[in-house]
Amino acid sequence: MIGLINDATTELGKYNSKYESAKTDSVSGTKWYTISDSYSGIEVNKIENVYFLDDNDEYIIMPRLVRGMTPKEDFS
Amino acid sequence: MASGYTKNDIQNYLRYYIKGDNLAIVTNKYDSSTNENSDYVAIDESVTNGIAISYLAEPNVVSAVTETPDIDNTLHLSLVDYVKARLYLDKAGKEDDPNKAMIAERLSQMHEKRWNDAVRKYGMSKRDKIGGDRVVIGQDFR
Repeated sequence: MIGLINDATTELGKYNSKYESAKTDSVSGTKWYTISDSYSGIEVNKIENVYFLDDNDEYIIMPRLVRGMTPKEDFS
Repeated sequence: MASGYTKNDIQNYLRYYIKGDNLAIVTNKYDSSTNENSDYVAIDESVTNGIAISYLAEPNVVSAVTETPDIDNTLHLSLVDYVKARLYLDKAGKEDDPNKAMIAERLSQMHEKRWNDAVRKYGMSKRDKIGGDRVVIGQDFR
């Protein structure tokens, strides 16, 4: 029964049922930040917006690169 | 701790994109080209709580039947429909009498339809809490 309830809540999570925000440190030279449920400490289903702290201590919204504009991967 | 980026730097030179379970934060600020297609590289700023994200999250797991599910109370009935749909289907599969099996299957379909209608078909349009005049205000994470 509890398994079924959790299946339902997982399914409901896909449909805008819970909205949250989180902060993390930026690291010089680091490009990738994990948003995996297992390793990030948060359970992200879909990212709405990403902000970066500016020189006035305010979070400024960042534009997203659309698919096709993303840099090629470095496989070296 | 504030970063070295100005508001204009962030809007003009910083970008993000997502691949699978990873979020990439990149910049072309140090590229001499002003071409939008120029290569993006990792930022060179280490800032405490420098990145903030807003996201749709997964509801918390329920560990006992006495707990209140971590979803809006308008969705509680839908959750009951989901559970009933699965239980009736299970009952239909175990039933020896084909008539009883058919009734259980129909009941399962009825609850499945209610679930789909409430969550998938009309979920957001019926349940969203948007009202009043339209005003756009930026989010403040301080």
